[in-house]
Amino acid sequence: MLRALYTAATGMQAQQINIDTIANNIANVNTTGFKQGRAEFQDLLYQNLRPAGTASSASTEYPVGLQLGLGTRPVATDRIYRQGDFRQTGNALDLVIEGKGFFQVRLPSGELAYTRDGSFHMNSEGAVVTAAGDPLEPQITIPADAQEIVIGSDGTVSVTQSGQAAAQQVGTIQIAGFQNPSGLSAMGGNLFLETSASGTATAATPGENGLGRVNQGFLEQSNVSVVEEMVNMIVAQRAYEVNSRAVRVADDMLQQINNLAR
Amino acid sequence: MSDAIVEAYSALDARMKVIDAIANNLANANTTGYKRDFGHILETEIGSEAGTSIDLAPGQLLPTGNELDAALNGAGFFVIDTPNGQRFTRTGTFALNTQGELVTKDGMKVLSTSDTPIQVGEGKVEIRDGGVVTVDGNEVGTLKVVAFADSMHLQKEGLNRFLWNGTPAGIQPVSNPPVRGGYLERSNVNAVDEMVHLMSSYREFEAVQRGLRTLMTEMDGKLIQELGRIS
Repeated sequence: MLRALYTAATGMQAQQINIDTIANNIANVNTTGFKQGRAEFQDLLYQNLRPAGTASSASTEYPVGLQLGLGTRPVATDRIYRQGDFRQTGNALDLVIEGKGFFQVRLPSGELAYTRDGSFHMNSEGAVVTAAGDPLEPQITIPADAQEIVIGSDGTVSVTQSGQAAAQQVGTIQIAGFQNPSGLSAMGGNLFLETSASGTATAATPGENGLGRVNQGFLEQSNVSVVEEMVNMIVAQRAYEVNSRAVRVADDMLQQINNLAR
Repeated sequence: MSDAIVEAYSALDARMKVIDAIANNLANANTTGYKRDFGHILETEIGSEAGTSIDLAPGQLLPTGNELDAALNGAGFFVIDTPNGQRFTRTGTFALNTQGELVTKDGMKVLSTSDTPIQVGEGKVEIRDGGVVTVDGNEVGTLKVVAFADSMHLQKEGLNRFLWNGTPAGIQPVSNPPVRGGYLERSNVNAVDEMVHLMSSYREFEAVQRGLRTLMTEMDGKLIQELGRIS
């Protein structure tokens, strides 16, 4: 009997993780460049009490077996890299990647991090940095007297300086691609880190190697769909409820067994 | 102990096993590609016994828009390569490994019709009807999909995997399989059905338990106390 108790408990734990993931998605419905998370589950091992197809006599076999499963477990929290909607901002340093790839950011520790959040700013030295102040890699510095910044779809950054008619190129934004972007580890702050599962980053000019192009003056909104998350939340909550009901039934049965011997 | 007590005990034990199976179904109400176990009570010479069979009814297809998700809109199983040999799954939540090969979420390689892993790598992936996988429009392989001669020799191994313990001839490749890219197959567990089964099995358990208690306390007790009394 204890099997059902524990089995239903794994179901409740799984739904808790499901709700945690959904809550994080909903909390980030307005986070630029956020990618929806999805909890995925697997059934646990089975106890094979009587395999189907074993002989029930010399000439016959059991048409049905007896296999009892032991519940469920979370196997992955996947990130869905579906493109988010674009929002026009008109800000020269707001960028979106139309397609695959990540902007590269140099962390204070010297490590490279990757992000889809293209809301860049200038720091006091004119370097292009994220909202947290981490510089873009390769570093791009905008001259102080720049009048206009133009970023092409291939990532070239050019500026027009006061008193000069011709635009001057100051750098090229590179974006990084991964064999398996789902294997990246999220470190918060819209940043991802490379892992052995993601494979090593291959940096390239936007638009090459299957990577996306860069668009200036837009931001990529979160790809979370509130309606979808609400439906998922209802499903998860009801699944939690039925599992808790199974726990109660199992408990009741144990109690009745205890009462047999009085 | 009378035969009635043995019979009642086996009836209780069988109901408990059916409820174990229902609890497992409920725990997997959200497991992609899960197939529910259907618990039966079988009559035997000395009471009853539980049995389970896999209900292969299709689950609802859910559009995800994720390019590495695939569902089978009909019979069949994807074939994956595990350390213990080929296994079968309906769970199409695929991913890529470091080598850029198509794998399941626990890293098992998904096999193509030529029994090799499918090399995807970077680029825009599309899984088309018939199981053809394309990257940036170029074909890189076709998902192998198989069906089985009967469901009797199909066993669950856990981790969303199925095992075939019949003869190799019982594994039949499906040509032009109904693969839907960007969709997932939900668990085929229906919470309402499971609750009804749970409650009815529980009430059966309760009734048998009442009977067993009567047998044990009233009848056997009286026999021992009254017949055994020395007047």
